[in-house]
Amino acid sequence: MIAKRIGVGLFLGAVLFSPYFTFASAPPNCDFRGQLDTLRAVRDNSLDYLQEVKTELVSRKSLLANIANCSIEEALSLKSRLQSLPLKEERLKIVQDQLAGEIDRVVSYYENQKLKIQDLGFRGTQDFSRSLKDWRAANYSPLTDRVGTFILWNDNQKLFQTTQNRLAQIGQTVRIFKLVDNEEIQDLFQAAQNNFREAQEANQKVRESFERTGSFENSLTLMKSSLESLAKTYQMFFDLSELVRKILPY
Amino acid sequence: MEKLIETLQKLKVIEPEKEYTLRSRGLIVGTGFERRPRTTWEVFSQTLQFGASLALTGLLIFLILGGFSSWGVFSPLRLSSLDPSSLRVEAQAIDIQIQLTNLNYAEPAIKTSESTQSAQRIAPQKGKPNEKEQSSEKVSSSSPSEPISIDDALLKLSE
Repeated sequence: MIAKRIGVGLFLGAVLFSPYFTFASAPPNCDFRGQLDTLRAVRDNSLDYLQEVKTELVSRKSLLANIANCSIEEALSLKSRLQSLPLKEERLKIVQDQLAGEIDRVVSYYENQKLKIQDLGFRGTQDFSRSLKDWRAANYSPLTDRVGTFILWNDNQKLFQTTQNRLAQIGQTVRIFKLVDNEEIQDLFQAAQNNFREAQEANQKVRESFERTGSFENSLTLMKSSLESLAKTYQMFFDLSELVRKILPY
Repeated sequence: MEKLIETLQKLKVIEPEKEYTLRSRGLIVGTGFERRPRTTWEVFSQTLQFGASLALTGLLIFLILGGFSSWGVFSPLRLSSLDPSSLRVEAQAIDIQIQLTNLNYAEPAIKTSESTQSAQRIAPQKGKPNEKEQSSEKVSSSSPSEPISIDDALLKLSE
């Protein structure tokens, strides 16, 4: 009996002085498997009911505190990635700032929620977890979707610049070697130009959707369409390369 | 008679020209006669001749050893604009972006901080299944080495 009590005391001590429970500023361990295993071990332990509830409550609070810290770190990482975008246009910087502000509000929400954890009872930890999960699905998840779309779109702009340069270079090559007279080459080059124009139009629409405050509607579908048109442009380049190889063999 | 003696004595003083002496000595010794350039122009022209012959020899050696394959450098396909290998690299970059756009947004469980730095992790999803079902499935089916996400842990705690 004494050994059992010592065991429970050691277990509680380990949990109470763990960095998660003390809200320490050390970087949180965001793989929760270990803590969930601990929680399961408490249930499986042959303690009396009252001790079991007390020990499980401590474990639950510890895990919730860790989840809150990890959620804050997750949001701050997203903000850091957003702010690392090398934007030059003022309009896009405004969008970037708006999104960063929304992430800041998410972090404030988590900070407030974290303060409530210590006062929770057993049932309270269950309700708190459910409520936090629902809040994340309704607020944080759509925000990460929008930030993700914005980051991807910005990354795409380098590809558009490269394709534009490539198109100009191929245009020069076609003119220098007087390949324009070849009907097939002319058609392929024209098709490449058309595909690139379509890609640019879709890309522009995505930009406009960002600039309309809070409206990211269809932006992902449009972005995908613009990239597909860009890929088709390159297919035309490959066909042109193949054809020129036949006309001017080396 | 006196005149004859006088003439013979003058013959003692007669010497060949310096250049003649040098050429003759060269011919006898077998080293050949080398006429040293005197003017700047001669020096320049000799250097130019030497340089040109060296360059031509070098080019000849290069062509013999390297073959004529280097003529391909002048082929229009070698022009960067239609070079298939560089086209392929650029096309692959576009394919990667398309894949990122297609990726389902996986809840960014931040096991490592760089995971959220990657756009791959935060790529939005389309047509995501019912979240509750998805999370339950993930928790139950995840292998021991897989990290458990924030939402999976919250789901477990809400039970």
